[in-house]
Amino acid sequence: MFSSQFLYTGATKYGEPGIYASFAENREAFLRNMRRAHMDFESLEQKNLFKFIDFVTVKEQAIDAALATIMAEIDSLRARRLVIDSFSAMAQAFSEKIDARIVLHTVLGRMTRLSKVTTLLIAEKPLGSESLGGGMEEFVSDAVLVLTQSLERGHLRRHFDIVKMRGTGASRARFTYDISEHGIVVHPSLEAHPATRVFSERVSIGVEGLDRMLSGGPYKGSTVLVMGEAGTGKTTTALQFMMRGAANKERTLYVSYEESQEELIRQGLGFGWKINDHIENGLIKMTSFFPEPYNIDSIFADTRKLIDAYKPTRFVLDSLTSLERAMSEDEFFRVVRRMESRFKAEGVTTLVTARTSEGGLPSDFWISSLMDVIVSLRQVESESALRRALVIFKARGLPHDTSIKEFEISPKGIVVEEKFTDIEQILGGSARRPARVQAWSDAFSTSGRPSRAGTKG
Amino acid sequence: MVGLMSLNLRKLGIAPLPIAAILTLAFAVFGIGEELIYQSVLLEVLLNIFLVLAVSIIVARVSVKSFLSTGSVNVLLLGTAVLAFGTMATLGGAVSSIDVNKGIAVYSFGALTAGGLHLSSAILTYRGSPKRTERLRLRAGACYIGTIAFLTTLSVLAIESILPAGFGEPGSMAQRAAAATSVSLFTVSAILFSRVYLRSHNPILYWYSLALWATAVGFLSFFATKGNGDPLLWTGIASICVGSVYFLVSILVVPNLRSGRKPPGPVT
Repeated sequence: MFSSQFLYTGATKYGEPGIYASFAENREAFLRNMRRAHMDFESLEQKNLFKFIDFVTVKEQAIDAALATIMAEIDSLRARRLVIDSFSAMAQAFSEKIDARIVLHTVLGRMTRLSKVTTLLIAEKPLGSESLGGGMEEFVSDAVLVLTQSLERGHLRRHFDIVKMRGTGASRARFTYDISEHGIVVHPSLEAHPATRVFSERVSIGVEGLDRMLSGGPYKGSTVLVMGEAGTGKTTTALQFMMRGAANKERTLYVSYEESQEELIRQGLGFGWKINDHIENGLIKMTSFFPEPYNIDSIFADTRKLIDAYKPTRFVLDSLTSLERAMSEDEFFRVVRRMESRFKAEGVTTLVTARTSEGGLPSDFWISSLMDVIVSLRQVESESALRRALVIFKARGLPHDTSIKEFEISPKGIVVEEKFTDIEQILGGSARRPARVQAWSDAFSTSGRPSRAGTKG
Repeated sequence: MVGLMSLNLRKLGIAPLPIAAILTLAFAVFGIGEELIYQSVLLEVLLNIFLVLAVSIIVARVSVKSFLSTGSVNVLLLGTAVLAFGTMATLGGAVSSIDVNKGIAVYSFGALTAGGLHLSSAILTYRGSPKRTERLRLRAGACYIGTIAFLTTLSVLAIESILPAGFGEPGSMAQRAAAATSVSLFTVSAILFSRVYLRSHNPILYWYSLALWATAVGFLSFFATKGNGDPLLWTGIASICVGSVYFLVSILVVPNLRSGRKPPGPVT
């Protein structure tokens, strides 16, 4: 597919004729497969922009003839691109490995260079093998591109590595790609660079008490992580952040990996937030899907396209936990770092949510180092009821309130109240009243009246 | 703190009470030391602020935290009573520096307030206190601020000579009636808390009951006092100070309770 696309794009986009020398499949099979990928090589043949040479049955004795044929066709077509599919199959026709190397180096290399033909040799990489093809291709070639695939979390992932690119400063990052109905789509690298542009303006999260705790709210372009157990109010905080943006006439893009747009709109209505109105007036855009079946790079690329098209100043990602489940730790770290650095430079204030286990700390969530602000929401059992606690674990470059505040999910959203004074060890996960208060309460809760059992006994 | 918990120390804690009672009896009935008069407003003010008020704030703070976490009304009343006592001592001392008799009037009304609140708390504790679940902060704030506001108003009224003058004259009928009522209120409170202690054997209740007994003896001395600076007045002040120390001990025994007996359980 890659090599066919190389020829097809060359012919259709740059008018460069190409030759496909096949030692693996015949012309009919090739044309049929390419039609499925929307590449019409037959019309290119008619325009003398393409030539398919079938060498499927070539033996060692005929290699010289095959090479002569290729060179003749190059001259005849004035070809600028050549694909040999595959050199591994071609090399099998030689009884001695050295003969294959001579052909590759002296004949193919010199001849194609002289003819100014860019040649793409396909070499097979057996499963589990570290070397390419016959082991000599990578030393002779000017560039080596390695396409591999792996099964990750039940999903096939395709990788693209530029191992060698003589004379250029090509990226050494690992790319991923998908084979779509329009051929191979290579996703942009997730390389990140520290943001060189920062903002000093403050942005309101939309939860007044939380803004106060952050001495006015996070900086524009910051990434705010709201973490907590299920049911602690993460999505409500995210919706409130979005609604504050709409109230300020700012655009918000809300990407949900857990709930559908309809569910979020209904949830907002419960607080009196008319999300639909803001979707209609263009201040809110929501998108919702489960990330598991997709390639992380394609998710990122699609999100990137959405952001480029919609140009929001606020971005919500709900939740990172769902995204984390869909990829490896390394990929997850790269995508979050890339997102964080790009959004920071562009002044897009981002709020991401993450679900933690009971009593989860930022240290348990290993990407927390990338976050500018970390807000933890918790549930605390007290007097046979659940109370909610909020604490700011981190606020990079911001003076902030470090006390553990109680908050309520009121009919108008999250409302931050006073700090907890009657319970300690909330962060330790074993909330209890201070020992002195506990003992004091116990002492005066004992009635002086003799119990009925005591009277009888 | 381990020492505080020892039985000997508990027994030792009772000792000042009969001593103060005997001294009160000796000074009041046999007229011993009638000629000994020592007046020091500064000493009274210092004792009131640095001991009585400080201790009352500590006890009131723990009580309000306890109320906020349990909603037990008796604990709130107890905290309010102790806060009233500390406020009374401070304001009474401050007013005394202007006019001793007006200061005594403030003491009289403050003692009645604190005694009434203590008795309410004691009755509820004895009978089993009701619990509140809503607006705990509001209730606690109203009780504490209301008490301070009430006693401050009384002090202003005393300074403006609006309160009946008899409450501030040592040995007068009004002052004796107020002192006798305070003695009764604190004594009944002490009896009730002692009975609760005898059932629970909780050291906090032991020291708290002793504090109330000491305060009751103190007001008994005030009841018998004949003039400013006499031995009965100082016996009363000393008993009140001992009572404050016992209030403080009742707070301090708690950490020992945690390590030595049962640990505080998780909040339920």
